[in-house]
Amino acid sequence: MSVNKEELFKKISNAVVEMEEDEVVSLANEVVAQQIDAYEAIEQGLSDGMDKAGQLFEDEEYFIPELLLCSDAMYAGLDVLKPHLKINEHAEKHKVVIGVVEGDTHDIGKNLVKIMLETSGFEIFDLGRDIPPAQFVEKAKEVGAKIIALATLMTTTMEAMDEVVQLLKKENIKNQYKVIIGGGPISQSFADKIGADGYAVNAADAVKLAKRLVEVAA
Amino acid sequence: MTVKIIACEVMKEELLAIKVDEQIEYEFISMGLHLYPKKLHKELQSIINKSVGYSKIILAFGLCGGTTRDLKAADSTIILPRVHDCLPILLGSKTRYEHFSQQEKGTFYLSCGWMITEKNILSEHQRVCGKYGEKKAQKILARMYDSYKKVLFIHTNCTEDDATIEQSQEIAKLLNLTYESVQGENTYLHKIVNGPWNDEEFAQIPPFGIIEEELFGVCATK
Repeated sequence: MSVNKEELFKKISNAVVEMEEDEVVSLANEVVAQQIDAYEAIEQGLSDGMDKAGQLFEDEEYFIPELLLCSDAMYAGLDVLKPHLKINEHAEKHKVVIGVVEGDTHDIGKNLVKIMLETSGFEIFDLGRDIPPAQFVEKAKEVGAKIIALATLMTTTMEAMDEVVQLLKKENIKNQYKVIIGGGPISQSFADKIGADGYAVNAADAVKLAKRLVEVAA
Repeated sequence: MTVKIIACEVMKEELLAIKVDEQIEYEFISMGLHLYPKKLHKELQSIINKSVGYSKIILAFGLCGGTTRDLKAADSTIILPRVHDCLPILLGSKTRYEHFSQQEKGTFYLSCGWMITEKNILSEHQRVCGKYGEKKAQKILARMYDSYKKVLFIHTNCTEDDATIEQSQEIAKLLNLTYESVQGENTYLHKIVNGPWNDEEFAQIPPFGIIEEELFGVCATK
C-alpha cells in the first residue's frame, strides 16, 4: 500500500478543519480506491476533524459560519464513504429521534448534534424544528429509537421538554427510552427537575452522553 | 438611600429618558455579553456583590437565556421583571409581545439598542464573503437565519439616526425578510424605574436570596 492509512486520516481531518470540501472528497475517494476501511476513515478522519473544529469554536477562533463550512466538507466526505460501509456496521446502529421542541425554530445547535451523532455511528431521525411533544413520542415508537434528543435555545420553550417526558410517563413507556436535552438555557438541574436521563453542554458532550446511555441500556 | 439600577445597554436610552421619583444610580452592562450567558452571569454577579448599601437593586434583565438563573442577592433586595427577554419591556407588556410572537414566530426583533450588536450581521457577512466567497456566504446566511420571516423594528423614541434605520433595513434585505416597524410603549420601563413593582410583572428577591428560573414560570409547578 502506497499511502499510510493514519496519514490519510490525518489529512482528511485537516481538510475538514480547513473547510476544504473538494480536498475532503478527493481524499475520501482515495480511501475507497485503496480499499481502506470506510468506518475508520469516518471516525478517525471526518469525525476527528469535526471534533477539532468544535474545539476551535469553543476557543472562539472559529465562529458559526466556519463550523457550518466544516460540516459541509464533512458531509461531502460522508457521501463518498457511506456506500462503502460494511453491512454489519449498519445493523448495529442505535436509533436517535432528534428535534427542536415546539415553539422554537432555532436549529443550528440541533443540527450540529445531529452531525456529531451521525458520524459517531448513530442512526438519526431528524424531525426538524417547532415539533409538538406527541410527534417525538410517536416517531420514537415507530422507529424503535433508544434515545429521544430534545433541543431549545429559548427559555420560553424549555417546558415543552417536560411535556415530552410527561407524555412518555403517561403512556408508561418512559423506561424504554432515554431522553437527553440540551441548548443554551438548559442545565443539569433542569434535566433533573423534569426527569430527563441526561443533559449535554455541547455537541461533543452529547455524543459521549448518548454512547454512555446506550451502553448502560444494552 | 439610593436605588441602584443595573441594566442592559439594550434599553439604556429608553431608561435614561424616564423621569425618576427617587435618587437613582445606573450601571449599564455591555450588549456584547448577551451572546455569552455564562460570562454575562459572572459579570452581573460581581456587580451585585459590589453593590452594597443601596435601598434596593433593580435588575433590568429578564431570564435572558438563563443568564440571571442562580444569581445571588447581596445585602439589598433585588427586584427584576418577570420576562424571558427584553422584548415585552420594549413593547410595553407581555400581552403585547405575545400578540406579535403569535402572529409570526419567525420574527427578528430590532430596536436602536439591539442594533448595537445586530449591525454586526452586516459586517460578519462581509467578513465571510471576503474570506470564503459570495456563494458560501449566502449558504451560511440561509442556514443561520432561515427560520426568520420578518424584521420588526421597535421604535422606542431614542435617537435613531438614519444610519441605524438604514442598517436595520439592510439586514432585512440581506436575510430576505419583510420589514415592519411598530411603536414601542414605555409603561413597563416606567414601572422598572419608579414602580409599582407588582407581583405579576416583577419578582422580589430578599437579601442573600437566589434568583430561580421558576420565578419566570419555568416549571413553576414542580
